[in-house]
Amino acid sequence: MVSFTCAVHQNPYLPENGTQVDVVVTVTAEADGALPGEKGGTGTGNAAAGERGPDAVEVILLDCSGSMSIGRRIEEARRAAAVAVDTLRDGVAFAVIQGTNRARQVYPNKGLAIVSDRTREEAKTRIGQLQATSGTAIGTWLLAARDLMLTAPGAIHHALLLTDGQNYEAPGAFAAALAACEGVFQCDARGVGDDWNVDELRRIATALLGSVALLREPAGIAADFQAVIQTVMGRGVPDVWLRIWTPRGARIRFVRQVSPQIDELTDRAAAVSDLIRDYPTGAWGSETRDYHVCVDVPPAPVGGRRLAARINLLHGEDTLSTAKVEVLWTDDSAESTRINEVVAHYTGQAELARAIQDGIRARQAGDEDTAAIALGRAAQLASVAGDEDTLARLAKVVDIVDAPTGRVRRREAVEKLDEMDLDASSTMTTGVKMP
Amino acid sequence: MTAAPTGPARAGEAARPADPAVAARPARPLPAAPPTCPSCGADALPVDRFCEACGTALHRGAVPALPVEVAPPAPEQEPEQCAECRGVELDADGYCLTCGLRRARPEPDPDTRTELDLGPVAGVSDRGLVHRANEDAMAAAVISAAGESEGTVRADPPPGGSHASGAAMAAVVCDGVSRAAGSGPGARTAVAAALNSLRAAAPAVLAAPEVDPGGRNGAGAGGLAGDALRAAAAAGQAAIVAVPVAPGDEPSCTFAAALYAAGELTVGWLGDSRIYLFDQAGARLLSADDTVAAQAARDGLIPPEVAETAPGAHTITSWLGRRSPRTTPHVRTARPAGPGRVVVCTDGLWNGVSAPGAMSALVAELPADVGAAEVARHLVAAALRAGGRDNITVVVIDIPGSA
Repeated sequence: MVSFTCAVHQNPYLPENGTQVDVVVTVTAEADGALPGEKGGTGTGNAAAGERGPDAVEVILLDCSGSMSIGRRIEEARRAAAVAVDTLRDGVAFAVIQGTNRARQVYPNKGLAIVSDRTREEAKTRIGQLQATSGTAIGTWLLAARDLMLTAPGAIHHALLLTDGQNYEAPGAFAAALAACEGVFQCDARGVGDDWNVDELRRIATALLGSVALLREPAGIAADFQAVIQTVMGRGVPDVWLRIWTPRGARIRFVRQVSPQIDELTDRAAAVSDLIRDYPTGAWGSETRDYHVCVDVPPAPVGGRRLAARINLLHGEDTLSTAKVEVLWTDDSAESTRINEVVAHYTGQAELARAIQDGIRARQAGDEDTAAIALGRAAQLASVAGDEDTLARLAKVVDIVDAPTGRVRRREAVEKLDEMDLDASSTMTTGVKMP
Repeated sequence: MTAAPTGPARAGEAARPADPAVAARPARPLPAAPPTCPSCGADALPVDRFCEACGTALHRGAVPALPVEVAPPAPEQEPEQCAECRGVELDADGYCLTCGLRRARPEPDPDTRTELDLGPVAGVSDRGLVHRANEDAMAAAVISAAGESEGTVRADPPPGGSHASGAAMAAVVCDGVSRAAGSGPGARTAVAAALNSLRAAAPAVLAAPEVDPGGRNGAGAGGLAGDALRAAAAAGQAAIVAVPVAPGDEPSCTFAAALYAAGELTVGWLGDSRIYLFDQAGARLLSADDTVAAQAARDGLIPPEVAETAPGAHTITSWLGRRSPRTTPHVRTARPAGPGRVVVCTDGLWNGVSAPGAMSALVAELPADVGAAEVARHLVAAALRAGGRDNITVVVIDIPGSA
């Protein structure tokens, strides 16, 4: 079993006539006992897979376009896919797809295979024969994965996508494919080399509740694949939703996952009633995530209290945990102006991600002044948050003169990989630093 | 809810002799009370004003023999409309299910919530969501070696805010026994008298070369600080028995106090109010409840894990008040490894979260550098979220030290 707990971080005091309520909800899931699939775990395991269907489906999508023949990319991609297959747990359903300008199933011939020693070896033999040819049509690959996922309802659905190049599909086709896959499976997207488009993969990761990362060297793919698959195999609860009740007359400004990475959920809501909306969070293992919810509520007189939101974590019809966001109106400005450190931290982290992305976009458009302002602000925010990793990435793209005041100078020679790395990592957040 | 001076035997406690304190009460007409709570079905005593289990008010209308305010009917019996949206449905915390407005009386009532913030010592006393009055009381002070002290109830932290080094910090919490009429005012009187006593004794404790837990130097257990706590309880006892009351009424309250001076923490208690210490050595409960169930657990009669839920879990065996079998507090000393915090609280807090580790985790939800007031508010908020069925009082003392 996985048990969930919620903690609320907020300043509950609002000034007279104040309406904006900001709250960070920390959700912690803890698996007590065996992992899914292991004896005694919640998974169905190998023996039961035939009767009740697999508890998880993994589809590996490997870019085999012509550019993958550069350097050791295709060799490393093959090695990484083999490591990924080795990391899959017995009893999980899986498939490997070769992505070019179409999607070709590599293993099994069709449908899904159940992981066992035999199927692992067969899959690795096929993977070893993959060659780089032809083009890149990522939407087509995702749709092929979707077809496979739909054959195993009720399982945890995940795809791992590796590409090295830009997508050559019509923008409409890519967007339509993403929309079709939303809610069907989760996908972590990885780019190797410096010829892929960070925005494109970020769109996949955002729509499909996954992460995006740049792999500088082909040799790093295998370790990353292993880490991703291990995380996925550790997930025991598929399809968890945040159900948010707000009072009549309230308006939700945004709902955003802010840790471990930023994910805008605002537009993903499914309305349950006038007052209740559901936001998808995907599958969970033992982990902690933070959500920033911002809601405007009708004011009550000074001294009045209102429930500004009730947040339930749902799996099917089961409520896993509940958090209540209570506010009270006060005429004591010392109370109402007090800053909650956690809310402030993640507000800063979200602004940091925006500043980095704005700055990079401005740089790419040749607008160095705007870039310097945005990246300067980013340096300042990273410095406040004590985010040394982001500062180090920023320093490879601009010369940081004084981080605390946000003074930066344009830098002449910038490696494209460094800029992409900064861009791709911008949505990763750091936790609240305890003094 | 702190329940008793020990009540007559309940079901399951038949072997226990009837308590002389109750047996000796002058006969007077008792209102016809339900033998069980109409809301949750738990056993009730004829004198209970609230259900021990769920907090439901048990008597409607006037109760002639009890010259105290009587709880108005429970909300579920007479549904009121929400002032804003006219909805009648409420959630467990009293929030309207439609517009979220809390169905609460206007808040100027000082009985609802009081806060006390002296910087390193701060407290919150909240009526909770069920009871009509707050019968808890608290008091605290920061005392310099010269005997100057910060007041009992102050809105602002002292200038400079944090620890004046060499100062002592004192906190007292009393939980008025809700079934003994007049206990709310009694608790407030007792708490003030006890704090004044501690204030007077603190300079001598600060000046003593070394606290002597062994009781040499002519002092009792816990040394001079232990003596100070015993004197404080005696002052509280003298104050509460002097409260003017109607014949037959016996205001009663628990007692829990902490004195931090010269690196030494000395605590004393009577009843089921508690003192916790969270420091670099971990989280622990310094007090041991004076309740029938806790005593039964200590005697090995019931498993320790049910000591907080078994019948008698809130039936206290010592308190401040005329009929108390014991008014000399238990005293214990500790040498905290700072930085840390002491939490002195009533059972309104620990009913929801009693394990020291769990309460410490609750405190750890806050950034490490927040003040004592914020910690107290956070703990009270947690108890309110857990239902707020009792009055909740929490006083926090910040123990200095470098992490």
